[in-house]
Amino acid sequence: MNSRVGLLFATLLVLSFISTRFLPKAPLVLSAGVAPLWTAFYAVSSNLRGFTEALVTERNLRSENAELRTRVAVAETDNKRLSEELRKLEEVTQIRATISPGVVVVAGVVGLQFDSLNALVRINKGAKDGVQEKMVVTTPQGLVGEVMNVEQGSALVRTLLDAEFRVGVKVAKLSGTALARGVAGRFLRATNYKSTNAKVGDTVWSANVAGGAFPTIRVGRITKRIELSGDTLGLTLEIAPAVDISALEQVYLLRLP
Amino acid sequence: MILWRRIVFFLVVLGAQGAMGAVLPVFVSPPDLFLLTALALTSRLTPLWTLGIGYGLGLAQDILGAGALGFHAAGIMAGVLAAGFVRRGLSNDNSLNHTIGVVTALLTKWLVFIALGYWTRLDAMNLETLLYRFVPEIITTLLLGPFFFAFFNWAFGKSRSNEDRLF
Repeated sequence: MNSRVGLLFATLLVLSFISTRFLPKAPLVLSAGVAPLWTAFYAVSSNLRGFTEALVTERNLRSENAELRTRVAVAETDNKRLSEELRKLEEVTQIRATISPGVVVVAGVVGLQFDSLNALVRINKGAKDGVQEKMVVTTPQGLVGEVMNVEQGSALVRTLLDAEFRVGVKVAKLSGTALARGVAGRFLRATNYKSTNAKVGDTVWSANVAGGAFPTIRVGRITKRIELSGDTLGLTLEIAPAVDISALEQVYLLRLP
Repeated sequence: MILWRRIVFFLVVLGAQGAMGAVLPVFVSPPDLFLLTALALTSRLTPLWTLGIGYGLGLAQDILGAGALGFHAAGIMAGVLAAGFVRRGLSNDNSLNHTIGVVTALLTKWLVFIALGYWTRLDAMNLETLLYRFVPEIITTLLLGPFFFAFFNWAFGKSRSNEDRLF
């Protein structure tokens, strides 16, 4: 009995070693089969999360309300001036959009998938909406990641916290770039950053995403700066992402270069 | 009667595993419900069945997660087999023994993950992954364990303990 168990165990283990290395990854169409179930659970749980957050914040609302009333009066006068300014800016944006149409797809986030190794996001747009692998995914707040896997009506996005994610980064106005990688769903780490002027709190921008030349996108903020004495290879920086991955609702996919 | 409970069990496990990411903060690894399911299912089976069920559930996780085929399969198979050997002489209805089983299974699963990660040159398999993923995963899985096994008993009926089998 025990030898049969050993034999079967060894066979299946060898099978796994072969299949993980040499077989292609599982097709997304199979996981898309249970996606509706996940979407339902995801909707319930994110509503639950919103509900608890609302309960916590309601306590502060009363005092905040009084303070806000006075602020509204001030803001209303500013409003008039700003809306005029906005109209002008909107025109500028429109021109920029038509000259360099960066955004191809606007997609809603329908699920998150954080397991032992991966930090992935599922979106509700796929190949039939023009989504392609390696497309850069972003929000107005900052970089989200890149498209990893595409199916007809949905796609999986590898977020910037995934340990397999790589992005070139730089600090505005400083020279030099560095390669940052996700660290187990916690933060990004950039190594060998040449410019020693980088300091904690500096905003970090993308220098090169998915192997293509993209407009610079905000990646995050430096939270830790490690300088090894006598190190000629430069700084190691820890970067907190600008985007809260677990609270995403809508993302924008950029055209491939 | 018992069948609909089993269907509900699998639907809830599948859905909860998917939804966990939305409820928990990003840096908290969700508990491994597939491993817990395999552990609970195989607690009353022979090692041959344990292997088959462990591998099958792991393969399902690989397919659903669109990952490398065989990765979770090998991990969960080795995990439940090791847990089965450790729990063989222990009572089934003791939460300490459940804990021992879960810890053994998780440790073995990650040992196989490390081997497979090295073999496939996986960048993600490094010391930080172990620290930030493995340690929280053990904690969340252990915390969820008692509730999970209670839920499993509701769906599948309470298993006979080793003491009962003596009579």
